[in-house]
Amino acid sequence: MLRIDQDEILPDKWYNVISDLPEPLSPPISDSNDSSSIELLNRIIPAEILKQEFTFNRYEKIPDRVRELYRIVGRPTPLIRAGKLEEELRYKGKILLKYEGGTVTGSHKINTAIPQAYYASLEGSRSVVTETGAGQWGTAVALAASLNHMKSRIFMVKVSYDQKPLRKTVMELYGGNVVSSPSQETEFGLGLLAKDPKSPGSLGIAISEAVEYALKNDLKYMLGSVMNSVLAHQSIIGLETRKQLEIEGEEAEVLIGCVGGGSNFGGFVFPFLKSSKDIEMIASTASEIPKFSKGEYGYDFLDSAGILPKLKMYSLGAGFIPPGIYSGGLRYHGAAPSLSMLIRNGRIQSDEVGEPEVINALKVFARTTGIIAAPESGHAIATAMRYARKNPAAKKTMVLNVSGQGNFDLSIFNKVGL
Amino acid sequence: MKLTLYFTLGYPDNEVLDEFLEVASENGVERVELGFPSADPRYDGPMIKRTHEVAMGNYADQATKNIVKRLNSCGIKAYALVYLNSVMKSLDSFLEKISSFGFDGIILPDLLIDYFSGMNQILSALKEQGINIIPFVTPSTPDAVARYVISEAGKWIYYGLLPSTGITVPYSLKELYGRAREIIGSKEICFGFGLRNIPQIRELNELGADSIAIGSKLLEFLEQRNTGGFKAFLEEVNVARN
Ligand SMILES: Cc1ncc(COP(=O)(O)O)c(C=O)c1O
Repeated sequence: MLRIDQDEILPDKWYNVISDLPEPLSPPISDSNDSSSIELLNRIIPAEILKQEFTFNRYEKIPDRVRELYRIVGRPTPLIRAGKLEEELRYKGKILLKYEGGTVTGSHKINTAIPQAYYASLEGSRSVVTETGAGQWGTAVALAASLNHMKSRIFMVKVSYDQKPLRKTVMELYGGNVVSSPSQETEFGLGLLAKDPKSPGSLGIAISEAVEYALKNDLKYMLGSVMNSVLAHQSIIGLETRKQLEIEGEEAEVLIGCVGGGSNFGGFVFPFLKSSKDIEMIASTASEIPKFSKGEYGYDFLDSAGILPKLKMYSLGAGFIPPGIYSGGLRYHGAAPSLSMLIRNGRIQSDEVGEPEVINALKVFARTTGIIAAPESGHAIATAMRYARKNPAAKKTMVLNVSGQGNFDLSIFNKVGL
Repeated sequence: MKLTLYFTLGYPDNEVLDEFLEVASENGVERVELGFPSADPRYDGPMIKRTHEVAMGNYADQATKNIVKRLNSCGIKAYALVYLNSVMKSLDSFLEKISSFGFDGIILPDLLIDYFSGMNQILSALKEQGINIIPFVTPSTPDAVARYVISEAGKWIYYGLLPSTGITVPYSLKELYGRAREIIGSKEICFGFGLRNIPQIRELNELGADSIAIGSKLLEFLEQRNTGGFKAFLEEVNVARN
């Protein structure tokens, strides 16, 4: 574990990729001619977050208070050499793990929950609203809200709510208030339940409910992925990794991570885009949610109800209800516009892995590293294993972002046994 | 600091527009930007979007030619603002048509965003017709892209203050001005798309901006055919920019 001088590793600025993209990013647009869905952002998103969303600054200073909270929750996270995994795979290069599961809430989501909650409270908010899939984001929001003396209300996608009852306990322990989505608390939820009382829900639906609830109750809304500002906050992963590699005298040649909305992946790889070397970057998604191979690149809504603006991205359609795989965090129809653009122009490659292969990868990983990784991260691990097996003599230094730990997702192994 | 005014051609109708242009020419305006009505003026704010809807039915080539001729005879330069999405199907014939109108250049707000991959072709079509491009860049245009189109382009650069309209981003004009200068260098920059009030104009003037463009703010006068209010507003702007 690399824990030399934490203050040297923890960056004091976030990196925003917008001004370094090869093409201009298409702005969010409203479906109707009145741009109401764009104006709505002004009401539910803290002004400072909006500024960061549309920033022209390449670097944004991390407020001192946020840096202090980052330290409290376990940043910087470790960079670990997975020597036994290299042996197991007979891989000639090095495999390094950036372990975001090492934060107190167990995933990278806390990296953006803290600044979003901080700015909301700075602007006078006493309560925040959000959605969560697997529960990692909701957990991060619940803690970040409490750390900033606020309450939180969390709409949790029904399949995950049912699959992971302990998640709810954790969020409540951190001070959050959790509801299953679709819920009776919003018109959108009521409408869906009337049509299909057994709806498993989806992230798109939960986002719609959270936004409707925020608007109705005049609260600030926090979004866990997709937005530029979120990817900028997550750049702390890549910036720390770069510093840690530099201290170790290593150079990354392959970067691998998983993609739901694209925040841990973008945050991890974007700070490396301008490196002189042609680093291979591979985004791993679920075969069950094949957004990069079967999705369309164009404008689509962020949420299922179409309350929020449209973004230009890869999407399977805002109405797409993903199959109920365990990787709740990957059950989303779209992906961040900046990441979508870089996948489309070929700078970033993509890979798709199905659940059975992920379960197997998680087992091998646990037995060689001791880490019980989140199912979402299991996709990145499986892609890394494919890479190692395909290129055993490659000798390339691979850095793998392990976005979270999976202690609450152990029921994934019930289906197949150990 | 030079002043550019934006009008949508045919809004609210051709006569009222003429009256406003007359007032503009008597009050020291240096440039006029004329928007060709589009069915999808997607990078404009809700108010200007509405003018496009109304103007669709009123637009006439002959009226446009007359306007540009009259402006030029008063020493005012005229620029066409055109959404490529509305002319792309017959770009060459559109450009050929307007090349004789007397415009000093063309602004294409959707070029970099929606037609980026075909940009070089579009730029050469413009060159062929002898039409200058005025690059339109915003705070979210990537540096490399902005530098490229600026190197290809003309006399001045149109810098949109808002990355996407409708969002009230709490920008500092000073930071934004610094950023624009860093990328654009010594070429003339015109700041617009989001200028609403006199204090902003004064601040840009103090920062050393070369020129400004005003659009949405004029609609309240146009809608009510209030040429008196328009004149008073221009006088205020003239104090703030000198
Ligand atoms: C552990 C973990 N990894 C990855 C993701 C996917 O999200 P993103 O692509 O935004 O990082 C999630 C989302 O909930 C998650 O909890």
